[in-house]
Amino acid sequence: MKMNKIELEEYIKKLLVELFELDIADLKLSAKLYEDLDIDSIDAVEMLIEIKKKTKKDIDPEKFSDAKTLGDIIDVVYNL
Amino acid sequence: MDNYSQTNTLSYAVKSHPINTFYRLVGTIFCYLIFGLFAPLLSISLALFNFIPIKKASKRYWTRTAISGSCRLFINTMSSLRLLSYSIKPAPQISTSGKLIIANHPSLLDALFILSMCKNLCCITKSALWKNPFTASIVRMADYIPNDCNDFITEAKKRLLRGENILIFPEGTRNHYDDQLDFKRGAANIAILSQCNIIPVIIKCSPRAMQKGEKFYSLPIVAPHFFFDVLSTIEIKKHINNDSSKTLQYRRLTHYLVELYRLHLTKTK
Repeated sequence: MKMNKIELEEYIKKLLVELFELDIADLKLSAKLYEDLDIDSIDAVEMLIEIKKKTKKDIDPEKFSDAKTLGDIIDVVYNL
Repeated sequence: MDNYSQTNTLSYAVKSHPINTFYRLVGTIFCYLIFGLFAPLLSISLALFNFIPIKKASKRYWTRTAISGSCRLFINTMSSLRLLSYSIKPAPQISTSGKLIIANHPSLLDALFILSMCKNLCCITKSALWKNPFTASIVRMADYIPNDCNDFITEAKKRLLRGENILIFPEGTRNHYDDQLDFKRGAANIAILSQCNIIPVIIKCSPRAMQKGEKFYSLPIVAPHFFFDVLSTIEIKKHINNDSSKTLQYRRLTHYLVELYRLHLTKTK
């Protein structure tokens, strides 16, 4: 399923709220994953598993190694 | 008021005499030297195990027994030199298998104390110990788990299933003040994924000593007292809820542990 960028952003934010009980108001594109959102490496793996289920795309975790913010994650997923 | 807070009030009332402070400084340097000399000796004697044809599991067992005994000897040396005092509640030995032992981390000696209390204990340690010449061969022979190893959680699960106990400090490093309690989720990750029970140990070091970033010669005003409260086992089944995602279970268990520690660390103050 191909989503446009707005839909993708919506989807990823909703996923973060579900998985990590985050407050949607904190989910700014510039929010840092570890420092601001308290998402550690184990969380990141769980998140990628969910994204993979949804987008049905192969996800290479290496591509996310430079992603620091929520915006970076959305960009990487969008460009997969 | 329990014994702990009584000693506490007393020790603060009697401020250390300069001669005592000097004595403790010399004593502490002496103990650092003993550690520096003893650790390589222990490594060498353990290395001799490699020439004896025994199973890997027995090597691991004997290495850990030797570490535990050495830690007890070291701590009792410090305590008989009156450089510190300690008390352990309820029992000085934790005998168990396949459990995760967690503790808060105020001082450099925490791990030594817990190692001296528990047999067949595997530690999750910072990877720097693998590079430190004093400790490298010991941690290797004891088959500890470095915290930068790719899959240390799966590794920990494997160890727990075969009956080893695992020590982890959920804070990841020594804290700066008692109720900082900045727990990472690693301990909860291991407990939930391995479905193992947890033994929480509360450590109170008063006054605080051998803290992170502190020089070895900066001593507290009086010799510190270490108090260890081994709490009753946490049944992990009560914290596993297959209806919610793993990520939420990790968060909830971590939150529970932080609150448990906060309660115990603040109750006698």
